[in-house]
Amino acid sequence: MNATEPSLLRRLVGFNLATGIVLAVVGYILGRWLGDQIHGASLDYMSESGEDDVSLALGYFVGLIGFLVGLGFANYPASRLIGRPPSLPRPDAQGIGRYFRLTPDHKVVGMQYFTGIGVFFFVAGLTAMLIRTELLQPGQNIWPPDKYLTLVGTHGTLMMGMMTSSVLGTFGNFIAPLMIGARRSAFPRLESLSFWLLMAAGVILLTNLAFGGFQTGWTGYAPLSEEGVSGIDGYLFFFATVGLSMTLLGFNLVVTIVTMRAPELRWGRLPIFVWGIFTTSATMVLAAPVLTVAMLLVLLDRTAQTTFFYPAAGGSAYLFQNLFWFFGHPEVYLLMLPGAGILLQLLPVFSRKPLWGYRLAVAGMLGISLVSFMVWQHHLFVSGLAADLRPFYILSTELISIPTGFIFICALATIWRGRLRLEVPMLFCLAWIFNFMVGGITGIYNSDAPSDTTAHGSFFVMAHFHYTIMGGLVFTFFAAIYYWLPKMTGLTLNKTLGKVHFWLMFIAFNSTFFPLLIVGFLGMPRRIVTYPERWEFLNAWSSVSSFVLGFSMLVFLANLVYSMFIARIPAPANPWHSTSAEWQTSSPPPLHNFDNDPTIGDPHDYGRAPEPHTPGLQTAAEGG
Amino acid sequence: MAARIPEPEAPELVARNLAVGARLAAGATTFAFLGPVFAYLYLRSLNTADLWHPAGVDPPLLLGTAIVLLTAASAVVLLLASRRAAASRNRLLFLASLSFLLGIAAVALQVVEYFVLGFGPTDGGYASVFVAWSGLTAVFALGTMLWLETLIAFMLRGGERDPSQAIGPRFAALAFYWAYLAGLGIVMWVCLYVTA
Repeated sequence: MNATEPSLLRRLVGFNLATGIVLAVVGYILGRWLGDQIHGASLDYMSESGEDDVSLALGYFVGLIGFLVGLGFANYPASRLIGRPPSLPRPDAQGIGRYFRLTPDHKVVGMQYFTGIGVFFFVAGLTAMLIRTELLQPGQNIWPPDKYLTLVGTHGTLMMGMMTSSVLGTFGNFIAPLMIGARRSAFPRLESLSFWLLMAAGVILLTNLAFGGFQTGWTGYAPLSEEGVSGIDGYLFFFATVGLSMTLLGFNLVVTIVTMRAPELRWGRLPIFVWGIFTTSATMVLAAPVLTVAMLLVLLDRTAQTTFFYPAAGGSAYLFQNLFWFFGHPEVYLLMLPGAGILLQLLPVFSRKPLWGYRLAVAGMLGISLVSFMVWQHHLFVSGLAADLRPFYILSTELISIPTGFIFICALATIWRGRLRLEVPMLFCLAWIFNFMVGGITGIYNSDAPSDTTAHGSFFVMAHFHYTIMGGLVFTFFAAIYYWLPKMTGLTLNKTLGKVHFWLMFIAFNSTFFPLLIVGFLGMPRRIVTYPERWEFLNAWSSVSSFVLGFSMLVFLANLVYSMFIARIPAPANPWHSTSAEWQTSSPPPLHNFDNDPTIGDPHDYGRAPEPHTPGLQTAAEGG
Repeated sequence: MAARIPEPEAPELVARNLAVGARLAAGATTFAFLGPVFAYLYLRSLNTADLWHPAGVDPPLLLGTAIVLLTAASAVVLLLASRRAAASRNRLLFLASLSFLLGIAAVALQVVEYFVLGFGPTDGGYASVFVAWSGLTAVFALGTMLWLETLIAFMLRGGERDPSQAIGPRFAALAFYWAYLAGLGIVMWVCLYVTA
């Protein structure tokens, strides 16, 4: 052990995850006790649960504060309050310990996001397997209805809450500063705070199972959320915390991209992936606070007995739908836009052609970001929306297909007559084009009030949604993993296992969700534990396919473990022959990112000049 | 190769980060207040069961006006302070401290108001919006005052003499954000006290 390194005991009792967990438990107990003291006078006319929502909410809140204090997030504010000067946080020593505490290194935060979100992604995937197991046959098979609904809600909520930050948290934090030639992010503590808030939120959500679960689905509509058992509190606290985390994540990335670009990197030369991160982050900073406040208003209804969503006392359940979807529809694009950024960044690399229509693609991203705030009421077409408002929201929703079309055009024109390299990341990108096309076309039926009236609340909507989000985001997320993990870790991913993963995932994904489009079209409602026997074949087919889909994730996990811990084949310096700046430094990059200032050129300039290595393009995944 | 620790940020970069950050924070804050504002407009127009604003649910206008005036005065004083950041240390410290006291007084009065309201959160839509909107404003105001306190404490230790600490841009960013928040406070006052 290095003589200057603190002892094991000192490291364990310092500000780190272990201390955070201990203080979280202490805080939770303290909060519950406080809640028990002040709850006596409150009214329970809405919640018939017999649980003490005030106590539970305070338990979550004080527990969260304890967790953050234990991680060291109170140290800097406390030192500033007594007049110590502003400072950058001290960078951690190298070693595994830096992944378990507050860190100022954007690359470490990126890896933390990758691992943390990965864990919750697998948990949420497991709940999906359990849902499909129940639906293998008609009738109630494994889960009683309330448990089934809790599974559905936990799956949807975890996926939506966590995966929104997947690309931004992992690749936005790790790669975007490298791409713009920055040596750090603008607000490193906020960057780290956003991650730990998200992890705390995930654990809080899972505690709902100990308090009766929640039967509202991921949308948490009132009056179900008002009347539900205390498991709802975990859901509300989860989304409120996730909203805060998203706001901080987007805030840091926007400021970093605006202020910390290399001097010669003008807006017109910004890599398209960074544009994707920028537009997503800007949308996130504005949309996520609405989510946080909406959840706090429901919590106020359940604890302080306000009446926002309680019609008998002057409130309205529709108010929640408006607030939720004002966040919720931009949320869909928060999931889609980073995927589009990855797609358009990677297609030129593997087509060896410049990105076609750079400005059109940027306009598409900006257009989606802007219009996404104007469409939320299409979710209320069957909720008593005033008939006069319907045409506007039909029009605005269909209008958003125009900037989305820009991205499609740019993607297709970029690969047109390109010298395609069907590497693993490229395969995932090509899958995006097919999946998102199906998602987009089926979306038209939901944007139109007459057809939405029949499709609403059915498996058709659910399958459409999975085509856009899983087909659009998760596929490009995997493309980015295969593309950038060699940069992030310095190690090569196995190519054969990568291809097996892709083909299994692509086929099983379509085989899972296409039948659900059909059963939804036939009228099968979602969030129901059973269905008529005539839909058994399609459901059974979908369930078996979903198991294969789940298996494909295990193949990926096996590849990750094999490549990172067993084979450990060093990655080439620039395995894809990319022209963007992140490949001008070592893999993984040093603490200060670049030994020399990177050369900023056209980030999508491929195929114009002779490329010495093009015929036998060296790959980062050739271990197979 | 030994890991090289990143060099401290240049003061100009700190200034830009703070300026952009303050404006972005103002945008995020606006959207955070959309919840209570939307609830105000929506529930007021619906007036479900005629329970939007039952008789007797009236906030103390005098207290509310005092709160908003204190907030606005604090913001104006801080704006003046930030414009004179480079001129005189003592003057800057005086104005910043005055702004801090005015802001804290506004938050304290808000707490006092809750004790003398005469109605509670259960008394209809307006009462709920009142509690949430004014409470959210008070939380944001308190957070901003803590930010201001850090700058005052820093100056009391003489830290602003270090040119790399960019005290002027720090005050400018804070003053912008606080003025913006005060503007939102005035909107709240008009909605909850004047036109309710």
